[in-house]
Amino acid sequence: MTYPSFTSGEVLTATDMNAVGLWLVKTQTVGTAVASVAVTDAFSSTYDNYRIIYTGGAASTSCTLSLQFGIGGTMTTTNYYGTAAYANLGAAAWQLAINNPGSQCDNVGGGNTTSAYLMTDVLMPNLAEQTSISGPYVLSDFGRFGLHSFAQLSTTQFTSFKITPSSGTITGGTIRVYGYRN
Amino acid sequence: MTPEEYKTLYPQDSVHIQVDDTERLMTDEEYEAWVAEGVYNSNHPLP
Repeated sequence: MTYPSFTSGEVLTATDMNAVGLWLVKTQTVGTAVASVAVTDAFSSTYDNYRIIYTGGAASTSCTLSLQFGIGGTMTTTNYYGTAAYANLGAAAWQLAINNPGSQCDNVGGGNTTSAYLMTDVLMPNLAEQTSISGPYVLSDFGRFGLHSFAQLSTTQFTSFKITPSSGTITGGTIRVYGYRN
Repeated sequence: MTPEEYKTLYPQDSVHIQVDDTERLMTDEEYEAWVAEGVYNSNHPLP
């Protein structure tokens, strides 16, 4: 067979299934008027690398979304280094929002009263190495379009993460965590 | 925006902290810290 195109009733062999590169690890629905949402049991030794996507919700006001890593419901609040590098359309200039260090990965996503969104690739969160993330940074309300890139410099083997709006709350939508097959 | 305005916009009994499927209201200490951070961020947006 020629995967990933399968036909109805076809037997899936181990070779086929082992070739699937991205597995849905966890789905989390965001509640109403949430100041932060933590997702536990997201990272494990099964996968080295992950993708987090949050869409479908909305924020109470225009805001950025930040990310922290932790174990269970307890988040690490130190040693987040990195930046969001973005084009500021209003100023017609490239700008940087730097954490050196910060208490979280700031400016990873964004939201407004019609949508909230975050997408980032997370490298090695559950290994005893530094955790790195990178992805797009799109905040149309503020005219910012660019990329984010951060490192959490501890060697803590994280199992969870938390998304927090810079101001106000977020409501609804779904956080999905995917593991990249090793 | 002042802390009072922020609290009027987001009363303590209307804002939740979520861990997985469990939501709860904030303690007084958590709420004051959250208000302070939100007010600061609202008054100091990135360019």
